[in-house]
Amino acid sequence: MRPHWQNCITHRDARVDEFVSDYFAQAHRRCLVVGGAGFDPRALHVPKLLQSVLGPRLSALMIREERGNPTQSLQIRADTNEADLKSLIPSCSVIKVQVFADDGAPVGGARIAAELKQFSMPADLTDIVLDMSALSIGIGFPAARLLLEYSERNPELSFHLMITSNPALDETIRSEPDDRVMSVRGYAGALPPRILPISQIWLPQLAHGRAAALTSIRASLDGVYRTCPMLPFPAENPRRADELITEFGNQLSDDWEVHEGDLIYASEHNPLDSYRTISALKRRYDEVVEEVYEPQLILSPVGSKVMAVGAMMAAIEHELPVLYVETVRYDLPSPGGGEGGPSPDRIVHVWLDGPIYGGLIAGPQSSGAEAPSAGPQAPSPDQNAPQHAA
Amino acid sequence: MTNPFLRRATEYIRDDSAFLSIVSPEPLTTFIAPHAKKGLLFDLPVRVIGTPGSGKTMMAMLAEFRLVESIMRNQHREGNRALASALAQCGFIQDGVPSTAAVRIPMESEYRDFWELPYDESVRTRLIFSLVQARSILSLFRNLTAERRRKIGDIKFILKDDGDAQLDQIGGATSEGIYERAREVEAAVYPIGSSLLPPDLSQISDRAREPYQPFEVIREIEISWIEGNRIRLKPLVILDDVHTLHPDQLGALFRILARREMRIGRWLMMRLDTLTPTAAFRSPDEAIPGMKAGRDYLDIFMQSQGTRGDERKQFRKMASDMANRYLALVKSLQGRHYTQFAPLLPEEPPQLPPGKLEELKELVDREQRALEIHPNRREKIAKIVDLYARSAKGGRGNDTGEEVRLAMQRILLHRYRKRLEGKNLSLFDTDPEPPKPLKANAGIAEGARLQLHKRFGRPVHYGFSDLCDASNENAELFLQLAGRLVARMETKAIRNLDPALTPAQQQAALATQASEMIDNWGFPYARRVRDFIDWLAAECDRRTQAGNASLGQGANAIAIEEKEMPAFLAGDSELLSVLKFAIAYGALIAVRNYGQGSTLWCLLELSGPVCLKYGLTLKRGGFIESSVDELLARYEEI
Repeated sequence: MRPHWQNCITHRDARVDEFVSDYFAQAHRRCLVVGGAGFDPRALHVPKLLQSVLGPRLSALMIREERGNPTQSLQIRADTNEADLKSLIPSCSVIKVQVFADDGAPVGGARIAAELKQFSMPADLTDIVLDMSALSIGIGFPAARLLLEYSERNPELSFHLMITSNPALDETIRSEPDDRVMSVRGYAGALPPRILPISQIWLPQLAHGRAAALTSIRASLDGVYRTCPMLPFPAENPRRADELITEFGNQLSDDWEVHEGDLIYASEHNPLDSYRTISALKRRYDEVVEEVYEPQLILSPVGSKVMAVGAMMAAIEHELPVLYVETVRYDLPSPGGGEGGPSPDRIVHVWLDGPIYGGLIAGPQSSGAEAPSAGPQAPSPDQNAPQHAA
Repeated sequence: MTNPFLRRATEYIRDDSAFLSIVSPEPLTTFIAPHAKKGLLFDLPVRVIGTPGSGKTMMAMLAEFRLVESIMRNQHREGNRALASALAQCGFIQDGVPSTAAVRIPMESEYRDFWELPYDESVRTRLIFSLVQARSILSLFRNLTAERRRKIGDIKFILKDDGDAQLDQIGGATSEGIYERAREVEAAVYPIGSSLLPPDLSQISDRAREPYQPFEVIREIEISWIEGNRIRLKPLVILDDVHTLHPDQLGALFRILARREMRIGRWLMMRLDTLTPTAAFRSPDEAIPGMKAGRDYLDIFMQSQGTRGDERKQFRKMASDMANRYLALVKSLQGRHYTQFAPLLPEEPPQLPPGKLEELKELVDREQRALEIHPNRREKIAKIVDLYARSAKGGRGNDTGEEVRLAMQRILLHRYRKRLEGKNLSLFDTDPEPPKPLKANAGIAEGARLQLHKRFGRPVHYGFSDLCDASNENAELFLQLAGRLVARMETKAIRNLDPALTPAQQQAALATQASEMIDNWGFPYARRVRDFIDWLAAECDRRTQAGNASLGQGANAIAIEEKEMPAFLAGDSELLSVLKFAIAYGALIAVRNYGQGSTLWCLLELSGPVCLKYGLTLKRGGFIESSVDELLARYEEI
């Protein structure tokens, strides 16, 4: 149990810069940043931010996801990002992970797990930052779980997640889904129930251009009692939720038979919002169907990365299965002269584990838990609380 | 419930009674009941092979004991008697009681994950087989105790004669013991495959390593039945979607399942076309080493192995049954007593409005003059066409009205001129005879209709037969296309109009649905496939619309000589992957060894939805001759 996650420390945007400047400026901090070295324009944001404060105290393990037959422009972008990362951080290792096996099955999760197992952590490490900005679910989620477990085994270590989010950019990245529905490696969920009938609630996170993938996932599920689509609100674009409802109109009304009251709104900026919402739903559903059905919540966080991180936390905490469809290839059109130019990147920090939670991790779950006293100059939990809409 | 046709897969139906109200028994009676070795279907391993949407999962779900019991106990319910009859024909029911206890085990991705474990192949295979067996036993319990009709204690497992020696490994002789042991094995094996970091081999628990072979020990199951009778059932395990396994993993599992000691039924449902391009192109089956089809295992193809005509006839029967069942769930039509689907798609030939007919007449006259063809010849051609029109019967044979005859005349005028090309003509012979006499036939009539469609918007795809033919013998595709038609029918019914759709309404609805489906393709290489299809359809359209309609009914395929295929399939070009997915997801159909003249061809035929979208023929045979090199060069340009 991780009671501290209910009031986990998070920062956004300028507060992240402040946090990094204060916290990582401490001379004894030695940090490893783990992130993506692919084509994604956001790959450099977090490493640059950390490097500016940590300097030589920063090392990096960057993951390059290899998928068959990428377009030439993406290949060039990825090569450029990799070269920039290496020049930015001298102690930077880049590992290449083949996402697909010889039979076309997505195996990236197993391979990143094997790579991380072999990786020797730098000496005197105090912090690990997983930058999810440029990692796919199939790689980022297993990496997060492994690093979290590593951090929990080493109480002196702190484990942070950082996400540079840009929903508008996400919408321009086109992806071709694979034809297999998989559970993310390490997120197969608790042992399937046995004698009681299974009653599933499926929580697909709606996202532009992901209808085919979500349709495949839904078709692979037997015994779905309810479908509760997750929509981003509050969001950078306040109309995004409505646009998604329009885009998924057929699925919502015909295929998935979604009732109006089943739509779940979660903040596009705050991962704790989706984490808390899913956790509350899990608790209530378990209570309602106890002894009658085997309840099962299934997550498919294919949209906004910030919301996906909240779903990932819920999946880890409650042993929920995460189903997804791996991407065979991406395409990122060259930036055109669209309306208003490119939208700004937003950055989110989640402090998942570390000595700062020393009192809470061992203690009983309590909403009124005192703020942690351990840890150097720790900021108060949930720095952006007033802005939360949850 | 909203329009049930628009629901994509049978798995979406939430409860058993809803499922039984729409499920058709036809796949059972079409593919299982007439099997040449029906008597061995529950003794030998059986591979059930079909394309996506062909109804494999629906058939597996229908055969599950839970549903068979529900059907048997509710014989008064409409439709259940037909289902019971079909199940009886296939051997699931004998003498009015169930004779098999079938369970469906979806082979989800987690089974494939075992192949990534860092253990020896034999260990990985043993682990997955233990998990399959444990889950099959648990699923048997779940099916047999569904609706709380009996308790675990009421179930008795009948073991093989010398099974006592193996009692311990399956959990003893009692059902409670067997149930608990299955749970233990599942709990021990499942975390190994799903873990992020697999344990060292030495750390695997004893429970997972111990022998566990209920499939070899169990012979039958005895349960309580109606009025206190007890009946015996033969277990049947249906492994669904086994193609998700690694090919080597599947091979290893299949060899275990083919052991002669096993007496329970074992069926493996698979999409063979997902494994290799060779399989996608329907090359002769790659043999399973050391095994022989028919002797060691049986195959059931969810597509007829007969002629194209037989295939289409069979599918129309199945589709009609399915459509009538779905129609019964459409309230706005059911309330008005429309119970048959086919009559709502009338096939009465459409007619051009007078203005367009006049335009057509002028066009033919103009082209006659431009081609410098004597009026006498035009008259002779008109007579040839009229003679054909009087003798044409059946199918679209009735569609030989004035506009079709005129369009046929136009084609024959072009053919006449073509046949005179290069011939030395006398200056004084104003109406020379062509070297080869002109003939009118069904192909030219179809070509004429397609040209009328393109030029004048005259409907060409309408009627129940066209709907079925456009579905490529695929149940799911049929329902999607039919769904759009039903939505249109509902609109008319609600407005108190006759819901039957005119050919123009049918054509518009089908073309719109097909376009949307193509736009929504979301499988691997979908964009490449779409580009390739667009190019090929444009080429076929060009040939179809040629004045002399050299291919008669027009083209809907490109062909490569068979002798080129082995080398092409052994290659690793991206085009091969693109074609594989195009075939697997119903954008193209590979027709192997198609004989034309003295040459064997591999046809890459555009599927029904593509033909609907682009107004191409649904008939087979018109193709553009090409070669591998030409195709690769074209692909690079696309």
